[in-house]
Amino acid sequence: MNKKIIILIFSSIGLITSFLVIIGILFNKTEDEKINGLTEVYDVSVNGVIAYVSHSKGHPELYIKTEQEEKLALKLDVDQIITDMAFSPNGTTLAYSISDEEVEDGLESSVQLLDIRSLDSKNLFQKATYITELAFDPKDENKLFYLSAETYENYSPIARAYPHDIDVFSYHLSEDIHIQHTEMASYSINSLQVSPTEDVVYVQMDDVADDATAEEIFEMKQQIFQIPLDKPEQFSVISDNDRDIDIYDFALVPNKEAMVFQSVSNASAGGTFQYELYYYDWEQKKEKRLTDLQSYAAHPIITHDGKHVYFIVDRQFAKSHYPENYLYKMDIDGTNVKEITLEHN
Amino acid sequence: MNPVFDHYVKKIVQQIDGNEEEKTDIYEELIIHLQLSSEQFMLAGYDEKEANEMAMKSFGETNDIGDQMQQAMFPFRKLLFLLLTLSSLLFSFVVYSVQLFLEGDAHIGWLLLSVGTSSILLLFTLQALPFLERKTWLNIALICHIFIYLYGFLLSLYINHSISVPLTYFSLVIILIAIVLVYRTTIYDFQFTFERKKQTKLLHFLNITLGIIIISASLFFLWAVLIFSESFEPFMLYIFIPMLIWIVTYVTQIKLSEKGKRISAYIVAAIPFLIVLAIFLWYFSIF
Repeated sequence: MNKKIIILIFSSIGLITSFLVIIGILFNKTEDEKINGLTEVYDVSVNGVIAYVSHSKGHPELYIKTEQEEKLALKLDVDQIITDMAFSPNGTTLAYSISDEEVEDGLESSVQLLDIRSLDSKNLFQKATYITELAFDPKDENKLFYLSAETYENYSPIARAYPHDIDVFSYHLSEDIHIQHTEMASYSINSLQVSPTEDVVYVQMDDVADDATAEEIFEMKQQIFQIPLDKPEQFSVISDNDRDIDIYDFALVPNKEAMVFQSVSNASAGGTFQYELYYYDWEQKKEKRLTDLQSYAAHPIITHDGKHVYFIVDRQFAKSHYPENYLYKMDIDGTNVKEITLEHN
Repeated sequence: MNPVFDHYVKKIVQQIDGNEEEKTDIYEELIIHLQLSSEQFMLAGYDEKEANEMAMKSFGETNDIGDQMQQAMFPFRKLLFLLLTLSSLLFSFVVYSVQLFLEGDAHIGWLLLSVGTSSILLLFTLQALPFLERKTWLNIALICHIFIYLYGFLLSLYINHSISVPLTYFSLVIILIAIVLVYRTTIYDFQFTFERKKQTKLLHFLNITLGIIIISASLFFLWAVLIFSESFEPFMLYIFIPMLIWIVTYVTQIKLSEKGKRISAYIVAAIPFLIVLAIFLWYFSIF
């Protein structure tokens, strides 16, 4: 082939490549710049005020949405994370927990209290652990329960790091004292809920004993447990024991022996798991599927009157490294499903 | 030896992919043809220098002759290489751009590597590097190309858009063409006596096939381990032990075959075969 043509071909390849490299340098996004939009961390107050955390180029931002407006209450650095939040029973304050994204240098969590009217925050307490969840006692707004993890590590080289050695604690705001309620140092505890009538908390965890064999651990199920605070060692399962599929997250229905929980709807079908919400009455042992979004419905929160359920849907679940969350609301029977528009999502 | 003919014929032979034995045969045939042609021109009244020039002129341009002979000896080979290189370049530019604008990731390193191997293969295809020993370098370039486009396969697989599907299939076609060309290049490239040709061909065929299976399985297990891992751990290198055994046994078999130790070569060939068998049995026993 003619040398001129060869030079022309390779010059063209070089030019196109150089152009792509230059636009690559200009338009490449950092990991932080890719983290945008609503997280799963939100809460709904007794007055219908919604507090939610949305990321903006990796920065966690805490917004307060009332019927009239949405306001930015707080913006954190990219290396910080809001792990959970909880409205006080009267809805005037919001407790939220901040931890560092990177935990190599040790665990440190700080729990703050935000005044919903003034949007001023004050420090409640700091702890050298990883606080994963918060829940006010509906019976006593002076009492804030929390889940505290002593370690944040991967138990195996081929596992991701997660908070472990978790126990239930409470913080008494006026007395400034902490009480440890359990001594389980559990591998995993989630979805802390406090009973509105009894001295009982509810959590989701594995139904496996500490001395379980490898086979038992492999076969373990995730269930909902009731922990009486006066005798925490006498915890018991309240979810359906005969249910084969794990339960991952739940919310108690006020004034009823019932809950809304998250579980996989297509576990035996193969393919990508779909997470839906279910209603379960543990008194009558009746279960009903509420959603059919064929995606990832998560983190149910039931309104104070028990008539509606808020929840998060990740429309990019299993399709992208980054979630694309939306806030939804439906009636407690699963009807009237609609998206709640958030300005900063 | 006529130095003018020697230079002229060597330029033609450099463009042909045959082995040394074949190249020597072609070289000798072309030299004889040119000498006869030159003698005829001298009988027609030309002096020696003019006769030599007339003989070469009537034979044709070295590039054209080399190209035609290559095409006659290895039909569709050039077409396959052109198809591979041009489609690879197109794939690289498209996947890089899609990754950049849809995912926000500029895979500059991969772009440079993939354009690099595609360009080297294109240079070989266009006979622009006649000074290199074609088959060894072609095989090295092709194997690098396969690994680089396996990464391209993952890049297209993880695009969060419907364009991911055609791009993923596109990458698989590129890898498939490159594998076919490795088979062709390796199995045509042997420098042994006729009696050993069949045996060497068979050993190359067996080893390339086993190599593809072992490398694919190793990369799959590495990917599966990495996907659940927080970071790279040294123990993950154990995954590459079957690959190492395969390389050592492949080289050993060829060396044994060169020395005429046919039985020993086949015994060594059984080792990677048993590894593949063990991988299959283990995989099907756990799934």
